[in-house]
Order: sequence, then C-alpha cells, then structure tokens
Amino acid sequence: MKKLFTKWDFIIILICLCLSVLLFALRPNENGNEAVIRVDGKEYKTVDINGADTDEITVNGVTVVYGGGEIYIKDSSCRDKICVNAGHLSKKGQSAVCAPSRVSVEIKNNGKNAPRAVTG
Amino acid sequence: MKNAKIQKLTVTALFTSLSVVLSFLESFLPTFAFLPPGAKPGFSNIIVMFSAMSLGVPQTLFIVCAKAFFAFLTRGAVAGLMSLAGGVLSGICMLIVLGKLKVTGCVGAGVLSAVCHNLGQLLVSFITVGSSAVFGYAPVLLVVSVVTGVITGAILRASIPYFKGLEKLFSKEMER
Repeated sequence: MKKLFTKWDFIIILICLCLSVLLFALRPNENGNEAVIRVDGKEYKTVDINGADTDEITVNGVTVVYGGGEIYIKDSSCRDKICVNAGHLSKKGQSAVCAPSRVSVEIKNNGKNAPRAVTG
Repeated sequence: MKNAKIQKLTVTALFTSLSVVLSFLESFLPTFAFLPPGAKPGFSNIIVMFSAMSLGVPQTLFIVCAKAFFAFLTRGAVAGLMSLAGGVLSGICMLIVLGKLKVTGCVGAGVLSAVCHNLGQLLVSFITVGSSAVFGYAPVLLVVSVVTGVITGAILRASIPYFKGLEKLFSKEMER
C-alpha cells in the first residue's frame, strides 16, 4: 500500500518553501512613481501615483484608485476579488491582477524622482 | 478480457464525474481564513492522483480534460483554459511521479500536484493578462500549495482503500 510520507516528500516540501522564501526575498523593494494599467495585455493608461490627490478610473468593471504614492484596486465585478485583496501597492514591481476581466496594474519607476547620489 | 475493459471504463466514468462534482462543490466553499482568496483546496486533485496511480495515462488525461470542459461551460473561457493548463500539467506530473517513479508518498505527490496546478494557471494568466506581474503571486501560491497539497495527500492516503474497494466491487459485479 502507498506510503503517506517518505523522505522525498520532505525534500519536495522543503524545496517549495525555500523557493517561496527566495522569490519573496528577491522582490524589488524600491518605491515606484507610476503605474501601468493594462487591459488584455495592452497598455490602457499609465498614471502618476505620486499626486497629492487621489483619483480613480474604472475599466472593465475594475475600479482603480491612485494617488499619494500608492495605487489599489477598490472594487471589481469579478467573484474572486483576488485583485482587491492584493491591497495597496507602492513598491516597484508590485502588482494586482484581475484575471477574469483581464486587467492588471503594475508599478514602475521611470526614474524621474529617484534620489540623487550625494558625492563629496 | 472484455470485462476488465468495461470495468476500467466504468471506473473512469465514475471518477470523472467525481472530480467534476468535487471541483463544482469546492467553488461554493467560502475561502478559508488561513488561505488567501482564490486558493482552493483542490479536492479533485485526489481523484487525478488516484487515477494516475491505478487507471493509466489516457484515463487520467480524459478526467482532467472533462473537468476543464466543465469549467469552460460554467465559468467561461479563461477559467476553462486555466483549469485545462493546471489539470494537464499536474496530471502529467502525477503520471510521472505516481505512475512511474513511485518514490514519493501521498503527501509529496499532493504537494507536487498542487504546485503544478498553480503553475499551469499562472502561465495561462500570464498569457491572458499579458504581464509578468502575475508571477508576483508565486511565493504565496507556493506556500498555499504546500498546505493544500498536504491536506489532499492525506485524504488520498485515507481514501485509497475505499477507491480500491470500489474497483473490486465493480469487478465482482462483472463476474456475476
């Protein structure tokens, strides 16, 4: 009869957990200043997220709110709400994806307000 | 050996409907407190794992495709594609791990099955959404896969005797 647990199982679980920690640690940790909103993989709009006032746009039933250095998906017409639960995003490379409505939001940094190196 | 063929066909049909029903019922489950939204326990993976173990390659692939077709009918094209990619990938992985290699226990197989399922779904959402942003979910999904994989693996181990009994019941009915 099939065993419940072997040393291979232990190795598999260990590899999965290590990979997860590694991928998590390798996330870029730099503040972003703009966000690309994509629909069907094509760029729909790029917004500046560092504005003092918050603004919102709705596309394909997904309501995106941005401003004050962050962006988040406030509401979505889909059932899972994975994108809404992605929370508030502010770091470069962070993203929220709504697969059912094929909308994604990803934070970028165009380098305009990156801190300058101080010399001397 | 006509009876053996009919028996296999019957068991495949039964397992196909079981996996479809399990994935359908699963969609009604509220998301568990300890799991992020969108993560499902993947109970139908149990059926796919057992099928890879005892039924064979065409039967296993038929079960995952039938499940994907059901997802396509009830939840739309994107969900169907996601189910197909996840199902075929984890099905093939299970055929290799449980059908050929046979070194892992049920828990490891369950974890691999869940990881492959999520990987297939991530690949499809990468293609449909068109942004590598989806891979940001990978770390969370890996941890979730380990948790759900351990659960489905344990359930698989517990239900093997009943599945085997089911097969025996059919072969007895055939002999009569």
